[in-house]
Amino acid sequence: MKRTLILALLLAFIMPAALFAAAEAEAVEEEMVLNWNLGADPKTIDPGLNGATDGGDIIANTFEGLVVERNGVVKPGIAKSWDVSADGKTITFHLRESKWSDGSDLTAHDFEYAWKRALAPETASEYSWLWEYTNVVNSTAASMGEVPVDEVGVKALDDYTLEVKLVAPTPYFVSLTSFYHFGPVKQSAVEAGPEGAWAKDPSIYVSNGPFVLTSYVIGDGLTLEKNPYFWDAANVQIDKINVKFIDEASTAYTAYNAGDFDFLNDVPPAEVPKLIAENPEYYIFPLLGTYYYNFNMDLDMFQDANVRRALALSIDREQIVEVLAGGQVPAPGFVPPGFPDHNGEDFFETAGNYGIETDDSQFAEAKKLLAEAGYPDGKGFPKFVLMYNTSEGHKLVAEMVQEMWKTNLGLDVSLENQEWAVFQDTRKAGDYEVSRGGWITDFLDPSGLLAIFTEGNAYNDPNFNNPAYDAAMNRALTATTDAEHYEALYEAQDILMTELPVVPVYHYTDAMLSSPAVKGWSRSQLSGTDFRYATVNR
Amino acid sequence: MDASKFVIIDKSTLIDTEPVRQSLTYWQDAWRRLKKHKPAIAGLIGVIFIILFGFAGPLLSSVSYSDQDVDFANLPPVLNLYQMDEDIYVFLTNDYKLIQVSRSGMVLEKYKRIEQDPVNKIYTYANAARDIEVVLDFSYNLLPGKMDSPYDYTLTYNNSVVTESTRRVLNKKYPFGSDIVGRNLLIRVMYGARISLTVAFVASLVNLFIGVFYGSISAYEGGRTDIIMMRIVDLLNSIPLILYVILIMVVFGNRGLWTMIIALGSVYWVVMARLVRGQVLSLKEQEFVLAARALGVSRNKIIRNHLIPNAIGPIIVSMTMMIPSAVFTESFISFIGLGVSAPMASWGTLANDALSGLLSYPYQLFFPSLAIAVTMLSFNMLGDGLRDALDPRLRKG
Amino acid sequence: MGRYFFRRFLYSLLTIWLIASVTFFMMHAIPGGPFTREKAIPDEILRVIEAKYNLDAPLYEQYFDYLKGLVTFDLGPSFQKVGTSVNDLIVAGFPNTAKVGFFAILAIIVIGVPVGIVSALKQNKPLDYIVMFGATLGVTIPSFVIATVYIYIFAGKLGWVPPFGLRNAVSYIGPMIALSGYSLSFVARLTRSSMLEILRADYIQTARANGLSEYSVIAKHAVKNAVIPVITYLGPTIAAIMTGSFVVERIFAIPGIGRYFVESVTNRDYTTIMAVTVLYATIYVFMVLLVDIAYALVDPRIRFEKEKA
Repeated sequence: MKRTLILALLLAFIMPAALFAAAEAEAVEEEMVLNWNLGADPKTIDPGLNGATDGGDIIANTFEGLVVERNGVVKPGIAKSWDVSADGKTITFHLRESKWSDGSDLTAHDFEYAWKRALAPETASEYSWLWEYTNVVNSTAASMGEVPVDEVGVKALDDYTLEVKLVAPTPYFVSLTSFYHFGPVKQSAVEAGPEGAWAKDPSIYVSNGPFVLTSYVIGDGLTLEKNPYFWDAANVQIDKINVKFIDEASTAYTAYNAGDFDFLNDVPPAEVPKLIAENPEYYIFPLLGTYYYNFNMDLDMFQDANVRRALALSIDREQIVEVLAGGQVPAPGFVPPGFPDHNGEDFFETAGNYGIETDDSQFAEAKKLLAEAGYPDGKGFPKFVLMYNTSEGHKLVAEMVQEMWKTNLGLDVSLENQEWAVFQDTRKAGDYEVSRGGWITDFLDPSGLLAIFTEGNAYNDPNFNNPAYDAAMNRALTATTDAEHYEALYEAQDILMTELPVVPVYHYTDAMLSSPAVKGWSRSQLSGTDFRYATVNR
Repeated sequence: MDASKFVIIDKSTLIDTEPVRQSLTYWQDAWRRLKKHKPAIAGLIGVIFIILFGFAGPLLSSVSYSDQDVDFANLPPVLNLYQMDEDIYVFLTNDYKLIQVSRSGMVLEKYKRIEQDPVNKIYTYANAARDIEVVLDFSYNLLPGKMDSPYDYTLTYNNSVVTESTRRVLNKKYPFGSDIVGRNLLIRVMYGARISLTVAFVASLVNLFIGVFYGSISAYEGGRTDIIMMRIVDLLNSIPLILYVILIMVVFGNRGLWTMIIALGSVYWVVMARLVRGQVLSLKEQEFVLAARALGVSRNKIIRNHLIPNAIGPIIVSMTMMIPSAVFTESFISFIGLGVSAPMASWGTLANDALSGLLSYPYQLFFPSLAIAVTMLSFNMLGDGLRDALDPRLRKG
Repeated sequence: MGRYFFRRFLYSLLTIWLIASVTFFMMHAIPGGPFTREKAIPDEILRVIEAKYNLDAPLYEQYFDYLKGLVTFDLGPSFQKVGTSVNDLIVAGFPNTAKVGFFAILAIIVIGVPVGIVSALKQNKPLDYIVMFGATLGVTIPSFVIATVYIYIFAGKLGWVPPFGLRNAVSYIGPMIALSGYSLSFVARLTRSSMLEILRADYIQTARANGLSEYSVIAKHAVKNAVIPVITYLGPTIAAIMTGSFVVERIFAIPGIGRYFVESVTNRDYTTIMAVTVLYATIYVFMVLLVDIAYALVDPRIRFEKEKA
């Protein structure tokens, strides 16, 4: 007994030491290495298949599309230049001579292949619905398998010219090609393994961006190394990026403070106010999206626009934003800041607040409105449930809104949370009274947000049916001039904010923490963080 | 015979001298032995305290668990005050809010930040009446030229500069501190006790009923019924139960406490079933059961009146152990985010909500964790004591 | 003996099949599917994707396909990791989970059992109270609190341990504590109560009366019998610990399989749900079998009863 005990004890101490005697080799001095916590193990890092921001962050560093968008500005990428025909329906991209990471030439045919693969039903890309908004000839029909992909209006005229045919002028199309979904992939690599497997297998992985994948450990991390064949490789400084997938923000933050990371995508929310005040290396960027609540427009209780307005006016958005403390922007309207209109002015600024203050200054007015609607102090108004999908952040906002409606309007609101997959079904089926919504657009145009409230749209959760709104949106999408386009959009948001089928709460932001050693990184509104020209000087 | 030779004896003295052992019922005996077990008594007191804390505590206050006051968010239970003037004390929060607090620790007013200079790290605050203006400089030990300062902040009021907090008081308004939207954590922890304990008690009771019913039938029937019923238990045992709890929570959606109770109650009864079966199996061969059978007592009556009362000891012990483990499981489910509906919060929810703020607001995690710990410890000590006290084999003089 | 274990083996296979079936149908009964994403996919596209993974086939067909895969050890593609099979997930994660689990179990046995024995020998003495109080402390705080506070103090404040992953021997301590705490104190208490019972048994008194030294009474006779309930408890516990813990793996950022027990359900990653369930059931059933064998070896009475039955 005693002997076995001692043996077991000995084993307990020797085993780990023996197993891990081979300590990690120390990085060579002169190598420039970046340690980055991505925050999740991405579902895929194949540009055509990806549909999530974590994958997008990696793709932004490993692939380069026709154009590159940084902070909303579109710059040439693999395409040196592009021409738009007089009717706005044909766009011709002129590609630079560049290479894949295996040394072979990258041509317009690769783009044609990649795009047609991305939209083909066999590929089953989660983002193939995006093609509906590109207006590319036959793209929607082809994505559903109704016409062969060969009939899609994308064609490589020669090795370095790509022609795209559109059904209507689409001003945002060029910027859209910077989105990861439109990145190039090499056919021989894609077909070397089962669907999507190539993107996580360094031995067959081929990319065209500043970095290439050199290792991938499921659930743990991946490494990227400088791609010598990248067309601008001379200006890429970092030799290696170690990426980890730690999803517990507080663990990652502790590791950052211990010097294990140089760059974090997420920090514990409670630390944010302190970081904003103290740390100049904490960055907050606006995201092109809005956090809102849907009223179920099919219910009798929300038929009266005054009731909806009273509820909207009783949300102190300033206070919510203060508590969330992530630099979010209180939302008076649905379109967030960041969209310049035809006059070059910000859509958000020009649109104004539609008479809805974002603080508590209209609480009295809200009470009056509700009383006028026949519910003084909330008496007689039916109980209802505010539903959100399970998450600490959503819970916090819901608790605050519940309390505001309760104390200001005297309404009896209870909260219910559902797990995401269930919640989506519930919301789609209209089986709710008030539900949380959020929308982040994928293209640099306000129509990406406003279009979801047109009749029959898959994301029209409040079931808002307003012919005037639909007409305005339709005019915006078929407009031939920018002025016409934006005027129609202003009108649409005007209707939306008068009718209030939704209450916008705030506009999303994205934040990251970067150690002072890391300089020169940039960020794209659509795609993610880009380290191509960054440096790390410890 | 001479009558004088006889003496009338007082009977009462006779009886007194004869030693008679007091007759004790099972429960009296158990209680007597439990009393001797000091940790068990400590546990019992702990359990009573926690129950009072949760069920009577909230009655003493008019504050509700859902009342918010965002101005006073994230205030700790102990306030380090800076004295700005004769009777002006302020508290600086971790996220740079300035709160005026009375000398005795009553939270009075949040000052508005009227000017901020994020580059030089200087904020200016003023009260609502605008007659007090305080300038905070927190650049020390943050900006390059000011490293190695002996202090982190300076607060300036009326040209007098304060660098050290001089007074430490207990937070009168929020004895356990306040949370991210300024809710009173003491009240939240009290209500949390209600929720955690209700879930644990009811789920354990459900477990108890299913387990006792199932286990006793299985053991009493014996033979093929027993084999089949126990095979089902084996089967349930080899399922990762937590996965099933999550599945159930997802299917039912989150509709208050009951989903949680159903999920826990319907999954964790197998332990109890096995225990009861074991007990009944050994009891049913004993003579008193045979006698009852011979007298023609029905099966249900035998189980109800003879078998279960005799197995009650281990059942109670197991129940006291089940309650704390249900508290634990509930807190784990809250960690996954499937806890009770907001703004209600169990201890698990409270602890989980506090996790991400551990660096800045450790007290938000401390109190719910302490409550869980006291409960677990009390029930476990009580359970250990009960095990000794209720064991019939230990029943000696 | 041999026939008995063969029958048990067949029965184990039956158990695994039953569990797989129940889980399969339960999982398909819950709302949502593997492709409910942050941005809901339009129905037409969703149908296309589901067709690709054969999710549009009748349920019984999917079920038989699944069983076919199961017997050939092909667990199918993961819905949450494109181009990765569930086999890959398990192969990548299981060794990490098992490594941590191994040390946790070791700690349970090496610390839990002796503590229980010592405490029983000193029943109702201060040492008993102190040791048992300590053991009870282990079950008082939820593991997610222990793990977070551990990282906060030892990695954040003191810098003694790496904040995440399994990088060196020291990095195993935290996960080990968080993973074994509850079972360790349970085993200590179980050993104590079972030891107390044995010490009162007649044969121990006989052994003492025969003049055996106290040491040999305890070491040779008492302990061997006292660990029987511990073995019973350890079987399922080993199965649970070897398949990892969501909390421990998430907070310590260990790339194991414990997280899939929770994440697979929230993601509706059908194939992974099935894989972890079947894996758990297999290990569980195997451990129970091992426990039975261990019984037969430790306790001659049990063999007798089995043969009688």
